Amino acid sequence: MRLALQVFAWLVLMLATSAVWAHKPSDSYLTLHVRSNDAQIQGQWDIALRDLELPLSVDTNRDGAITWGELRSRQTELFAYALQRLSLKSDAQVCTAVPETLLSDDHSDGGYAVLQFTARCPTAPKRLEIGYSLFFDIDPSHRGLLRLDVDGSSHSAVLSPDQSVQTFDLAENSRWSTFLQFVRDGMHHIWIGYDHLLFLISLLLPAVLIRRNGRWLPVGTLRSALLSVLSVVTAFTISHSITLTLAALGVVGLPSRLVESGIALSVLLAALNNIWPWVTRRVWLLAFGFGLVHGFGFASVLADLGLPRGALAVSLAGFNVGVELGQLTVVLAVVPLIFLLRSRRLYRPAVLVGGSSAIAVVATLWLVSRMTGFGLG
Amino acid sequence: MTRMNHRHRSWLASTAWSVAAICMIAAMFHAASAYAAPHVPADDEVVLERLPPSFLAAQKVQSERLPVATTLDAALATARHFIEVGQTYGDPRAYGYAQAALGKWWDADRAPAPVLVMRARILQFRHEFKPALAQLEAALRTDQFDPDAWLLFASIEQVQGNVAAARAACLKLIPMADPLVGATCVASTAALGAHADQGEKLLAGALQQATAASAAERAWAWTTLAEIRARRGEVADAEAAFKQALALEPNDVYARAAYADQLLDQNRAPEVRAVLGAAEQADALLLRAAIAAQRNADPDAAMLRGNLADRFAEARDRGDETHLREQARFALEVVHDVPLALDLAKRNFAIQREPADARILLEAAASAGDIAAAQPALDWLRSTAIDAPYLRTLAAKLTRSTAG
Repeated sequence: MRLALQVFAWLVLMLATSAVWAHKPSDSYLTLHVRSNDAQIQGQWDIALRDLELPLSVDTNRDGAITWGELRSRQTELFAYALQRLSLKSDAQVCTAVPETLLSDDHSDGGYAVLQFTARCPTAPKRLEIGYSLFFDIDPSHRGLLRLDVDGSSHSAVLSPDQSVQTFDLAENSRWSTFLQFVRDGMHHIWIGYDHLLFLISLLLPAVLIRRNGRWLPVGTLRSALLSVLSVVTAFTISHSITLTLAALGVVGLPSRLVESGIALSVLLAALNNIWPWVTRRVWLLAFGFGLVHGFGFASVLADLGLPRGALAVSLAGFNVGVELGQLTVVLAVVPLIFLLRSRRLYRPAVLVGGSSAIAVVATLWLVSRMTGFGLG
Repeated sequence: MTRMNHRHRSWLASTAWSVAAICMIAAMFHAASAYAAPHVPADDEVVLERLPPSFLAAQKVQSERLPVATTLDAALATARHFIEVGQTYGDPRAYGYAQAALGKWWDADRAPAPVLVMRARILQFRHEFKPALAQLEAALRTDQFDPDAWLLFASIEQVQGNVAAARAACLKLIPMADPLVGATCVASTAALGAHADQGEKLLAGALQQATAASAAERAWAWTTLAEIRARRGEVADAEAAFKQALALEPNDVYARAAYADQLLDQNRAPEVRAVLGAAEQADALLLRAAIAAQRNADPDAAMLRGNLADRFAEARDRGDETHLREQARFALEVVHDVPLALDLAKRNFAIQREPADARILLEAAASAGDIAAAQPALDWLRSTAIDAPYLRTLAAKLTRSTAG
């Protein structure tokens, strides 16, 4: 009963707050995807319905609410109005923008029309000129926030009445530089992503020990330690590569808060498993299962970096290679050290249990902060 | 336990772990369906946007304006109406419409004084204080009897912490403005110096006699009085004044935000959401709502926090720095990112120097244990005789803790 009441209160609040009006200056979000050697540019333009209402009167029945039906019935005028106010030139020759699909989305300040279009240029652009004049006549404080993706490298610019034309030189971009860029991004993410590091370390710490009759014993040879490290790292690599690829290709998608909470939970469970061993054999299964969650985490980073449609395979491969390289450096740094320390009296209580307890505490804080949205981590 | 059994158990356990992980992913997918992305709505009746009251008000101005605003008076009248909409609802778009309404006069080299004042008002809203003051100086050179220009001049100087200049502008204003407006102007500058009690008395007296003043003017006076009282720690009297202001102008964003702050300071977070009501729209109010929701552990706390974070991120993308004070408070009180909060508070204090700006800098520096970062605020506090017990205690604590 109490739970039901809480759920009810939550729903009421959700409904109440969805009617809250956000006030921020007028922005549109223009994304252009350009591939080398391709004369077609894919575009997506998110424009606030509130801004479109002033020149186009989309709210035909004047009830103060814009419905999908009202927007859809004005599709042709909408595309015409917007695309007339965007000019794309490939090497000084005009590209023709053709409407594709009209969709709807929400940004932090309300409903947006999403205009997807294709611009056909006479030649594959080496120099792309973007001229923007949407709403500048009605609201000079309007800004066009441009994101231009060229084979995986992302450029951004703010278009304003004073800076209404932007020119980009695309010639210097190559697949190889894109690949290298994403390798660097992947390695960087592993090194600064403490959650991935701590998960990996939690799984590696017991790899130099073997569980016999409820007790930890140091492994005899480096070979057996390396075999168990190899199985854990391989399983983690395969599983996070699967979800990373699926998510990056848009086959599956998860909101970041759930993924982030899941990653924190995986760190917590892996650390607790070292304190109160439960899974002592086939730790690789643990690495595999939770690796799936970590893959989604990598994918959201990749998405934030701006995944190029044209060079998807190159950037995905680059990022994945970077993640594996970053992971390898961690393994190379940690494994020899713990192998040398494995027979020390203090290894088990201090490093394995003590270290894992510390990791468990950190992971718990992350978990709480990520689940509730409270800022502890 | 036999070896066989042990292996069996371990196998079961690791299988269970994997199943748990997979179930977790499945649960996430289920939850994920509630999140938005570009999509085709389910049917034609789906409402994509409810036009806010500020938009409807602006649309009304738009429809009433002359088809071609050729005369300066028509352009000025339309711009003034848009600015009123912007002030009432805190909607930045309305200021953009006002700029557009000025048309060719926005960029004109030799614009008449009323245009200069209008430009200053728009620039001030965008926190471009120096260009705004330059416009006002030019306007006052041609017409030194414009009360609007003097009032705006005083408030910009005051925001920047130039109390003496603000006071001088208020004194110029007195003979040409409504007595209540002059009294509010003078009282608010007096309260930033050693004469808070006199300012408070002057303002309370002026409010008693203010019969000719408009509701908006009286609400502004009550809010100013409430803020002086709140700063001096006279919480009950401050609250009464806030209530007076909101009774006169229920939509006043500024008064609501200030009242919410007082409630938060008194650990009365549960009451804040009711004060903000359905008007949580402006960033300033959403910030208070997010702080209150987090303290109350309201079910929508995470959503408000996420919404505000998105808005600040979007503002950053567009290069907008008008909300540094709010962003710093958000970073400090909601996200608990102390280094970020301190950086934002420092940048904010370089632009704005009101007591609230000093406060967020002192608080962020105290959290970071970084007295050097607080130095500008400490210097400012030392240079004024402002009656603000909370700020003085905070500053004393900060200097003591670092010295000790």
